[in-house]
Amino acid sequence: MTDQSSDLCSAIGTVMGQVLARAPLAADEDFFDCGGDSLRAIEVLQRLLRERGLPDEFVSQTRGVEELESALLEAIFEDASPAALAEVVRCSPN
Amino acid sequence: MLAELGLRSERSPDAVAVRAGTSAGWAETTWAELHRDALSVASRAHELSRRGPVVVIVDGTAASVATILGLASAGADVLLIEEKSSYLADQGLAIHHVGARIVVGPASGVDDVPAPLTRLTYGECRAPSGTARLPSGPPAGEILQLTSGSTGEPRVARQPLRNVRHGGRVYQQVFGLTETDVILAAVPLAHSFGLIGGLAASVVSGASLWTLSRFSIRQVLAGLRDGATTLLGTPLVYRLLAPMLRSESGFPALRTAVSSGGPLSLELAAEVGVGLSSTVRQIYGSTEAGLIAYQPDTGEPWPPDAVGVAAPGVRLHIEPDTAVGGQLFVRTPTLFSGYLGAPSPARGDHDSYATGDLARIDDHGRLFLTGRKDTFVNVGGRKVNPRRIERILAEYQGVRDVFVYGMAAPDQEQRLHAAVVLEPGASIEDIVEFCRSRRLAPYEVPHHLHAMDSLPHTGMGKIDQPRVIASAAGDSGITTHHERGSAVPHPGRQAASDRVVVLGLGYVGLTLALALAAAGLPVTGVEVNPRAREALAARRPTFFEPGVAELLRSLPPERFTVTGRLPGTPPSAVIICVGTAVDPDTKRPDLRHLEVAAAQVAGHIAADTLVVVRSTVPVGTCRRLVYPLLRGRADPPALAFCPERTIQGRALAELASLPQVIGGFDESSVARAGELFARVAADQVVMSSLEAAEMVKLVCNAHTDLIYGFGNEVALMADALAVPGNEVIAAANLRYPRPDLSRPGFVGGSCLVKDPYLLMHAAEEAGYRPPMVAAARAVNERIPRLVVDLVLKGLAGQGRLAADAKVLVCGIAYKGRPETDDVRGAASLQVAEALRGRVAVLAGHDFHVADGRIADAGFRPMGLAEGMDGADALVLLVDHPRYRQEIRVEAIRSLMRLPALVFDMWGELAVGLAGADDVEYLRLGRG
Repeated sequence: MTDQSSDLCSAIGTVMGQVLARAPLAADEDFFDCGGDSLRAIEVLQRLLRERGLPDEFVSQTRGVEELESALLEAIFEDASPAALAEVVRCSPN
Repeated sequence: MLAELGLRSERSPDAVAVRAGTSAGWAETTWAELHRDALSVASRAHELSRRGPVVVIVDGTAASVATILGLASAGADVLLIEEKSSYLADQGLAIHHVGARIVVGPASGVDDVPAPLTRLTYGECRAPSGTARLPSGPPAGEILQLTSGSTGEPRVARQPLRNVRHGGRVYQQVFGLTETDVILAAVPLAHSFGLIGGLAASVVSGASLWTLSRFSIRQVLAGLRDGATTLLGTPLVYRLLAPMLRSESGFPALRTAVSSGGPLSLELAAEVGVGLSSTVRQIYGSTEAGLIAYQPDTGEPWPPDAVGVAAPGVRLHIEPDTAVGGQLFVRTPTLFSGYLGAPSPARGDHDSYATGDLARIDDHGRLFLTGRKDTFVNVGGRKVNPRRIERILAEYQGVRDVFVYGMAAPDQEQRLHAAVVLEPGASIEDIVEFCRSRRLAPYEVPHHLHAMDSLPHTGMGKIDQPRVIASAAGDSGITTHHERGSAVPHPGRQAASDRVVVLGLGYVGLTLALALAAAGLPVTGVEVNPRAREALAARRPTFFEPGVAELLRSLPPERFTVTGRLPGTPPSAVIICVGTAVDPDTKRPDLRHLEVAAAQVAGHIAADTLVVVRSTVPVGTCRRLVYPLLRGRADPPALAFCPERTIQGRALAELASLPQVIGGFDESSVARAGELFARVAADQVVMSSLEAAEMVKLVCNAHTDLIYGFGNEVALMADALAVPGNEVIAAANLRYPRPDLSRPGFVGGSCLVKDPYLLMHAAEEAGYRPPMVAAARAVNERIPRLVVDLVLKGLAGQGRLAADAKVLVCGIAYKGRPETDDVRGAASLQVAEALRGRVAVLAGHDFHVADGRIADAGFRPMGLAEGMDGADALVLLVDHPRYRQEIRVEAIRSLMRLPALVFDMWGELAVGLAGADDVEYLRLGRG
């Protein structure tokens, strides 16, 4: 795992932890198993994308926050671990 | 229903009855298989239900469906619960007092079953193969469902199986279901909507039932692509789906999308309707009554706040039947037979069921809910009883006091909030951990926890709900928030006449009035508009704003009253919130409303009444206009200027969180205004004078106008240089922290077009003309003219003569969302001015503005299709959601002259039109 991707994982895990009012999630912990529901999932994405929860270089204006939000929203109901979402953020076309 | 299954099995044994989405993909079960399994369960039903109802955990698989149908058809009473339901673990609940001994669920289930319950798998409820036989004799059993309960704890509602079946028939009839249909249930089958609209409707109509064992957007989309014809979802499901649909090209098989479980906003319905190419039809009903109303498929525009017309066999009764609505009673063919353990069904007069909702019915028989039952919190369609969550939280030793309630966020979905008083050493995290250890489902754990030093109580010893809600509104962006200190408004000392009058209950006045009332002050709102008064007196909000509806409902009557004139008894304070305007021609301030208001106030105050001006005014207005009027009543009068700077959608939160700027006539005025606003705004910025405070508000808005103006100027320059402006702006902002350029667009609305002029006027009177403020206004006001130039150039580029062209302008009002028929400050006025006489036909369309006013604005009023018919160009100026729905590429191709020129101010039509053949699609900053 590169430094960049582990930064990303921990940024996502931290935001998930904040939303769940608990310690940051480890890379492979599932957000829904840890107490997440759909409304909290929306909150996580909101914080990641609109409130600078993600390092700036991953949220570019040209790609569009909306596009990344859709990709993450779809992904989080499949695999809600920080690692899986980090993968989506990194692989989303830039 | 077993008989119907048998029929399906005979007629089309190999057709798919249930297609269940699991994490491993779809699992298909035929009608023959489903019938065989249900029969096999039925033959053991008697044995399994001998010792009471059977609890079935419904995971959406065919096995769960066969278990429900087999057991209930053969006489067992079946209590349905969702997977991971907290009802199993919660010993305090009705589920543990119904005499159930057996819980049936999936083999891989994670649910622990406390003694004396025994856990069986679906498979273990079936007879060994070959030994199944249909039991004869026993009447069908009842389906038992947990409902939120009107007070206290959840209750178990009893629905005879024949009602479930009849309910399925109603869905079949209303939505025209046949064997060729596919019902995709993106909702749990354990609840009424999924059980009746999904499972029962499928069995009686022969439609295939597709289910999800766990909600997955990907699987819903897959189901839609695979040919689902009917989609069942909650508003939250549609909200989650909406962003995905932007990149989908429609689902040809889909006929109907049905929404139930809570109010569906117009905007969401429109957005999803476009993405699905299918109207989202609302239904309204309850576990107890079954389907009550549905939105018919008439093709006619549907009023956004109507929930439907009466479903077949349903009679609606409203009492008392006033213009603003009354209690809704219903008689339905699927009315439940009562709550388990209760002596008789809870029914109102006329042998009908009291829904607990307030409603009215219009002349077309359409039902409008004017107030939904709020004894439960609607979390994404699931009803959570706040009293039950309170009970569980109170069990935790770290919690001294607790109050649980629901509040809608800006996305209009309710969240669960808890205000808690913690014992020393306890933390929010501990409480959340405790909730999870008590196996509360994630949606039952409060989304927002507010730690407080104490919960405010009323004189009667009850928790003062409005004050708690108002305190919490200040931290709506934060999941857990410690609010020790200022969050709970201190009661303070109240003057002899402690009433506060808020004059003008528009956006500014109403939010402030409610916040003050919630903070414990008795508030009288004075409003000249009788319709607004009537609505507020009935506790109906006059606009949508998070928290406003909740506060209106929860405030005690005497705490917030509404009248048409100032009260005779002088109040302790008057806050003037009337509108100020700018003359459209001269651009000079129009302060008539303020002058009238101040004069009236002067006649109704005592010497020590504090007068606060909150209307936005030119610098110097308080001293020069208001002060002289008040001086006759008190010398010196207590006069302060306290501007409003909140944003729509977060007004209550921002009232509490933004610094309140205060300027006073003298120190005593400042102190009194500070004391008054301390109730709602802890953070205060005291200015040295009235004038300095007046100027703060004006420069804030002038600055915003300047920022937008620069974005527009970039677009204009880029246009002149033939460079794509939007690309330049996006690149300038990209990964570069300093500039924050805004995108080009029309700057409308009442504040930004007005406040810079108020500022300029004041400065000019003092001898300085501010060039930057004036320039920003001038650039922003050029946008409508620029639009006209683009359209004329586009026509010329296609070799068409403007003088022969027909141009349709859509959106005459100044904005599309929220909907309004207000044309003041609208882009359309300037577009009309520039195009009038230059084109052959200048047509105008708006969903809300009356034809007469469209004509006054300079357009020939037309319907949308009529306007598009033969038009060379279409100019869309506003973001009204229906335009997205109705201006489709197909309509353009069939009606307009091709290639059609379309200008789109806000990019509303980009998804359908950008790059489409036959359409020249124009936006600002594109070239």
